[in-house]
Amino acid sequence: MTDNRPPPAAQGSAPSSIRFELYVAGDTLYSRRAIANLENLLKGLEGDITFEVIDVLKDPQAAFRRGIFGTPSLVTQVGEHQSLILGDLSDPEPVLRRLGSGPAG
Amino acid sequence: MSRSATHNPCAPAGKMLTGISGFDRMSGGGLPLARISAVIGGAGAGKTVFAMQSMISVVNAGGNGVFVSFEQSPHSIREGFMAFDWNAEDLFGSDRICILDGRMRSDVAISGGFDIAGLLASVGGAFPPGQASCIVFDGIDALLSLLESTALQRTELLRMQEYVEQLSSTVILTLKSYPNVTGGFEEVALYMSDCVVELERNTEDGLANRSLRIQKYRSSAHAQSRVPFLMTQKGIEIAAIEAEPKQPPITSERLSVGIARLDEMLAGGVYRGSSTLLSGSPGTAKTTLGASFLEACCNREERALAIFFDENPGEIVRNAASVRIDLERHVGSGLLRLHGMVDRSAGPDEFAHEIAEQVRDHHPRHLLIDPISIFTSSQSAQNAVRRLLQLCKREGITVVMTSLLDRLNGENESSRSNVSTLCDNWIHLSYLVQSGERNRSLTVVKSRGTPHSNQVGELLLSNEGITIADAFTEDGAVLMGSLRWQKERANEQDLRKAELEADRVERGTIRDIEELERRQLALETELKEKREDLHRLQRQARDVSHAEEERRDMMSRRRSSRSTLSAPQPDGDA
Repeated sequence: MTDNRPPPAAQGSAPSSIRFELYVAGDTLYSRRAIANLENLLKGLEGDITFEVIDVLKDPQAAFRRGIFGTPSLVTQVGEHQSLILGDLSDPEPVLRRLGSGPAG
Repeated sequence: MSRSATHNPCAPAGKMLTGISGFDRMSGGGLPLARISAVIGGAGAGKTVFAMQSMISVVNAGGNGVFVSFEQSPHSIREGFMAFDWNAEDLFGSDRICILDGRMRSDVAISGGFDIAGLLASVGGAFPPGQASCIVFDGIDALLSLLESTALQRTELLRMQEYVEQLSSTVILTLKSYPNVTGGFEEVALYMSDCVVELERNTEDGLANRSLRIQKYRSSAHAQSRVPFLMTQKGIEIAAIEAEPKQPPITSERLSVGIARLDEMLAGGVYRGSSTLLSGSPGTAKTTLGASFLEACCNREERALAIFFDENPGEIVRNAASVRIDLERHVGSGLLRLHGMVDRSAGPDEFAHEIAEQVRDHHPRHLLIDPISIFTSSQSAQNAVRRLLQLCKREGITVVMTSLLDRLNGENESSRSNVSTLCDNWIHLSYLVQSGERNRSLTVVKSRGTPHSNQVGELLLSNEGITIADAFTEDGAVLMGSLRWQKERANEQDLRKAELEADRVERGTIRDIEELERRQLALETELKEKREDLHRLQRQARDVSHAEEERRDMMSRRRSSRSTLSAPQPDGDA
């Protein structure tokens, strides 16, 4: 999302491979809700899925590299396409739209 | 100016120099160190530049800066830094400034609630802990407006405040001000800021006027007034408080204005360090008088600067030469600088700034502004003129300004820019049309601290130079030109006649006196003769009576001798 962000990690995965990075700020209500909501979403998904939760309070440099400006933030990487969803994911619609249609519209 | 200030890291305790020298003076040393400051104002007021310039100052003093942009792309922020004379390229090259993109991009979806802990973490991740001395959140309102409720916005701002307190970084928030909004995050932002700087941009006569005010500064003395500022190559420049407060040198030294008779009318010339206004209609020789002043200054080997708004320096030199004022020689020697600002469309603040720059650059002891009436009567123009005059007073510069009077205003001598009240001396030039002639007249309207002449003089321009002739007054009217000449001639003839007449009378009187003396002499002689006559006559008379007595005596003696012989006889025959 930012100019100072390094290029997407080269994974060379098949189109079906999906990588999730969830950036949270400590153990807050938002963090817990986001993790729970994401886990719910993942139940309905199939394929090569990686899922990582990063606490920006512990690793601020990761947040800096990704250019995170709100927490929770979910970075999804579907193949080469990367997108960012801001919030505790209580509304699954935007997440599903991104996963379903591939590149973000 | 900004660089010299930024290289001086001697900010007072608890302050951070912004490198905007005027602001640092207003605030007693800059923004509060390790605290939150807010810069508020409308679009285009200069909020971002203020923040950038402060950051440059910090980085030049050895710190690091994180610039979070919520409205502009990092690229355009970078360009913004480069656009000023700040050597920002070097600082970017050494990774001392980090720009973070905080924009909400269109491909970012929002799903549910969020907070700005991630943003704060990103900022914290830019430099090792404790090494970011200055953090700017530029356009924080754009981020906060994404939050669903005012309550959330408040919460997030308080989170930021808490975070900043841990970091011990100096934070600058910039946000657009909406004067009518209360109870929103703006209020919270201002509340949590120890210092609030308000920038304003107005448009007047189609030109932008920017001004700055310290709205609040917790536990620090600060200037209260709103001051105008300029956006220059150096960034924000506050002209009003540019120079150190300095006691202007007071002198009673009189300076010649280059015309002997005018010096006389001013009881010896103008005071050094004073300001003089030359007002008049077009063509009343204001510029020529100004040029005469310049020449007089340079003839004393003193530096002079002239600002021309109406004519180019070349034309000025040529026109002055036609009345025997040699400016070219002094321009050549470097004593005199002629600075043309013809066809310049800018606001009063820009004009004043350019003149002040020229003054700082040339270090003149004398300044001519031709004409000062380029500054209108608007408040901002008036303030600009006032600041210029104050600068000159501080520096002990003697100022002469010309002021063009509108034809429509006619005899209204208070000049267009109302400078007359600010000036120490005011000389008014006008035309007197009489008997088919148009003559230039000169009056000293005002001269502070001087017993000046209240007479009207006639200004004569010729290829011999400028002179002032005393105007004759006759039946309350002032005579000039050929009328004055006629009057002069008539007076001369009268005088000659009177002299002849006096001569004649004198000669006559002398003659009379001589005549009388002669007569006096004659009378005295006559008198003497008469007295002698009288004397002689009296003597004769005495002799006669004497002889008679003797005769009688003799007679009587004879008679008595006869009677002794005979019987006494009566004196019948006597």
